[in-house]
Amino acid sequence: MARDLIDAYLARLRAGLPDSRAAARILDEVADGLRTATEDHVLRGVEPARAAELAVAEFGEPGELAADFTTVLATAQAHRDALALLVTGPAIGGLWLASALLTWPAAPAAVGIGAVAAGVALATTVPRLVHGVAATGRLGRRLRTPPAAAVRTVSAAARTVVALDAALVVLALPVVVLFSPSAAAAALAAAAALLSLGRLVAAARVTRRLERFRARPTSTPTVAP
Amino acid sequence: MRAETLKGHLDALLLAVLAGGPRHGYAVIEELRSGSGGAFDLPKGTVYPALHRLEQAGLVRGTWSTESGRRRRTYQLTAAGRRRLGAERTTWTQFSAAMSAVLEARPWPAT
Repeated sequence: MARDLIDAYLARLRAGLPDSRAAARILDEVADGLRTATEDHVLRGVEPARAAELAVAEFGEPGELAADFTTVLATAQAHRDALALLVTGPAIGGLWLASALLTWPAAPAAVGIGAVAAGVALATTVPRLVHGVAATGRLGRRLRTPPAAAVRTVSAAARTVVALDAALVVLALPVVVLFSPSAAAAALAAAAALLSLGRLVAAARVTRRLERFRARPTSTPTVAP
Repeated sequence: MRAETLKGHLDALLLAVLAGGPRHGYAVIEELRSGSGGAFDLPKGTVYPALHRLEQAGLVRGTWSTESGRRRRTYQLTAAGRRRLGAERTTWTQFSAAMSAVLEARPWPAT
């Protein structure tokens, strides 16, 4: 009976959490808390079934608890995703830049337009990712960005990364292959395109994952004065 | 005391409880309740997401252990958590002194 009550509470909590290993660890932790609370009541002389009822009531609504945890999980996920996108940027960007420099003399106008477009995309994406990493990490308290806004920022940045990588593969790669006088430039661009494709897929997954978090009920933690 | 009144200060209270040594979630909320003479009696579940938030912020560190076949997560303050607790104490002392000065002042005579 006591076990049934606790299991029912955990099932309702589980239903409100996104499916992940972190959610499984949360359930273990809350299960331990509920069982400890039940044992505590039993030690005070309460009958076990009643003790479990009291423990479950004291823990609060599982839906509200799931919303609080979803906020924490979404923030942690956004932090990891923003950091991954930020860290891969210089390597992929460096390859594209090197192939662009080698192609520049043969097609200055096309390379110039492409560089300006990529620069604009980077100027909007990199600050968002940096802000996303900071707001969802240890600097979050100082920045005072609400978790939902930080997750939105990372999601928007990931969408821009998808668009940028798609444009590089579809537009920049043919320009380098067609106009570049050196095989080295084409090889660099091919390598960059492969990495861009990989990042495009990863960034699209980030967007979907964070949108799934946003579709779930979350809470807004209150910040002390 | 209503949970909403306390919510903005929950993080500082949790850090203060953990300053006494490592504790698991249930022990933290019990310490908070008993330490406040029963005034801070929040829904016990609320402490867990708050502890996870503090861990993300690098203010506490959680570790898993197994006790009597049951997995248990214990939290302890980090160096950053200790510094934050010191800052929170200073802010609270200044805030409460200023509030008391205003709330407990005798009304000024009307002119």
